[in-house]
Amino acid sequence: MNRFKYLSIPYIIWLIILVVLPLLAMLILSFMDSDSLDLSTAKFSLDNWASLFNQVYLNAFWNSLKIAGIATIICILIGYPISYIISNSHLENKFALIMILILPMWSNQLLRIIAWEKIFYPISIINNIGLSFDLIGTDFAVIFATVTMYLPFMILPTYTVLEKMDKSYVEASYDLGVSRVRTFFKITLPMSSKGIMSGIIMVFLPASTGFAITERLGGGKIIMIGNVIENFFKRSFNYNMGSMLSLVVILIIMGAIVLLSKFDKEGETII
Amino acid sequence: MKKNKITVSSLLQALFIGIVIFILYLPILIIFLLSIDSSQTGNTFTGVTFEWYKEIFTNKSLYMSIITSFAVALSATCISAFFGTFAAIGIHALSKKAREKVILLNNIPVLNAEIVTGISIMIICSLLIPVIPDFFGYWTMLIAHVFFTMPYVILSVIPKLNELDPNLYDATTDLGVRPFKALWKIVIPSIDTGIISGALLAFTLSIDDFVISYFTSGNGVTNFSNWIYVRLGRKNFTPAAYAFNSLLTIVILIIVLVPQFKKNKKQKAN
Repeated sequence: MNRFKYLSIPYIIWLIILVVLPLLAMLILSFMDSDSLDLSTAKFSLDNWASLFNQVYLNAFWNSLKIAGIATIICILIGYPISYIISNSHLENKFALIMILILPMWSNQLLRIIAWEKIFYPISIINNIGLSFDLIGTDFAVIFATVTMYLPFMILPTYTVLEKMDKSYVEASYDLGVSRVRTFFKITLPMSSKGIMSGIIMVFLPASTGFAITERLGGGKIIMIGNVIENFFKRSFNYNMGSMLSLVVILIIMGAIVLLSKFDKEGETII
Repeated sequence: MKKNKITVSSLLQALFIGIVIFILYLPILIIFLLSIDSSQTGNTFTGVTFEWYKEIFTNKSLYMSIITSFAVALSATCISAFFGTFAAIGIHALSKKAREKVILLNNIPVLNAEIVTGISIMIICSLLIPVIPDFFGYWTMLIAHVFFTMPYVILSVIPKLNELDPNLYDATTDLGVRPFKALWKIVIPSIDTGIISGALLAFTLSIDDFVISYFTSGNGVTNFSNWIYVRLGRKNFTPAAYAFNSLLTIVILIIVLVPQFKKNKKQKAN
């Protein structure tokens, strides 16, 4: 089948046009002072990069890391035990239960955020049952919504590896008199680490770079890097600053991709 | 552990999973309540109405955005599944070193922040505005959706190609079948599960996409998520959006879960 090599060429060109070219464009834009994409009046400028360490952006980066980091840890602490319990249960239809846990993903993301927004305001639809929350603008609200949004992305990969895992290793360990706790940490956890890894990627990356959850639930107080970039491109049309910050985000993600490719050369971790 | 023995720990486990399921479905329940709530603001429950369900069919900007969502998702899925399969066959045929490099490139749209992907496509498409003035809209969204869904098709197809016995293809061509016919008759049917799961994933991601479409839609053409986003907190928002989403969720729940329970019944019968 080696003769089909050339079938990859159009796709490689497509990727270069849509991945590499925009990166170059952003790099150029980040060193300029221009009126959005109009280069006729553009001047060379280092101001954008010089303002990278401005407190506002550092705070936004820190908020992204903090909120996405905590949300990811909570997703592991909830998602992994769920996968473990279901995978080791004697239920007849484990897969249906997993599907039930994953199905909320098919309901529109934005509307699910709005649903939380509606009940996190003091006056809300749940007043009818005697409950009232005042959580808009708190880290709790943002992290809570992030966890509910991305938990299925942690359950799916961890469940898949736990199901595929050869359970006879665990049985062998029990037979040799090793305790259940020790067996879990020495056998099950290391053997399912790949699933946890892909879960972390699938939760952390979108959670740290999104802007809709903080936009609706942050009450203007919690700003993540996604909000800053969105603001530059869609509201103030400062493509230069937006490009600079996007490049920083890309650099961080590239670092993560390179790290990932060290132990996953065929891209199997992602799906 | 003996089967069917109810222990404290198994009860706690069931309770834990039950609470998580409740929290995951709570927003869906709220969306449903808002869809039958007669108050337009959705801040109090004033009474049951089905007016919003009717409005799905009368509010033109809303149903046009729904049609756009489906049109973009369906066409992006078909294009990604078709070209992605051939690209995967091409990538699979490359030498190990070249393959690793292409896969690294292929992973960029998957792992990159959605906001960066959206902006990248927006910048590239903006460069074409002098040539095609009203470019933004359906076509730019389609390009963006094909761009971010195709890598998933490729990632689902390549493992199937790895499982394929290369002798199968060689035997077919040795028997005088033309290469592309062999590809069509032998290779594609053997990897069809990978293509289908990749296409399903592509459709799921595309239909619910918000961020990438946010940057690539324009000229009044927008998808369902963006229709909602630009109207939030404004007068032209209507709970018909909740109604549509509730209908869609119920349909998907039925499509996915009914076959599961049927299968369960069959197993019991056997």
